[in-house]
Amino acid sequence: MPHFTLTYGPVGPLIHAYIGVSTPRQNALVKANLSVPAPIVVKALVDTGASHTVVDPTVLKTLMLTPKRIAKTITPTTGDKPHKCYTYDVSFHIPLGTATSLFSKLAWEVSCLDLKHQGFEVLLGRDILAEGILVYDGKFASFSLAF
Amino acid sequence: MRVDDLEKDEAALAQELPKLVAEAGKYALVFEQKIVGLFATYEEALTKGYEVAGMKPFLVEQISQIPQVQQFTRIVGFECLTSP
Repeated sequence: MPHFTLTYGPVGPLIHAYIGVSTPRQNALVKANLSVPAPIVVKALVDTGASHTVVDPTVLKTLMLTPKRIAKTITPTTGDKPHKCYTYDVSFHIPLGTATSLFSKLAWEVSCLDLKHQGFEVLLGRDILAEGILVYDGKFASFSLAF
Repeated sequence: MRVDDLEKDEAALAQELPKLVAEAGKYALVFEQKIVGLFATYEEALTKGYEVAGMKPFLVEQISQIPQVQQFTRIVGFECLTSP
């Protein structure tokens, strides 16, 4: 099973990923003679406390996306009354080395929430982790991801 | 404008939900307050959505009779491009 192992620091398990427009949107942009924004390299925190993958609005703004639905969201500050956030369709790739992908989805739903000042642009949530295996090794301050 | 469109599309889907009990898990595509179709995957619904609506707003939502709530144990902000 393809995998990688990295060490983690004070912030937690961080990886690099590529986020771009979804393939269906890319096809629509080409058909409409509009330019297709290039994928963006982001820093993503692997977060088992996040039910879904979250992307900071600055990334989504650069990709010029439009929302696809309104999701209900609960965080430590919302209490038991869910807040609303938009979701967007993106392509999501976690690279393995320079030539291949460990995880690759041409269309994935992500939620838009503000992560600035936290040191990363993405929370890699359990929706993506559900597709693979995460091993967290506290003794050696390392983690492994396999898909 | 986009908020209004999405909210109207959501309301249209909510009205039809009782008839869609057997379709739980599928993805509904809603455009201009009409259900265009139900699809097995998110990608299939998006593909049809962009085919039908082009770059105009449309809604894609997984059908569930139980309200779906996303949970985050980390504190995040709710500022988005045009927060609802």
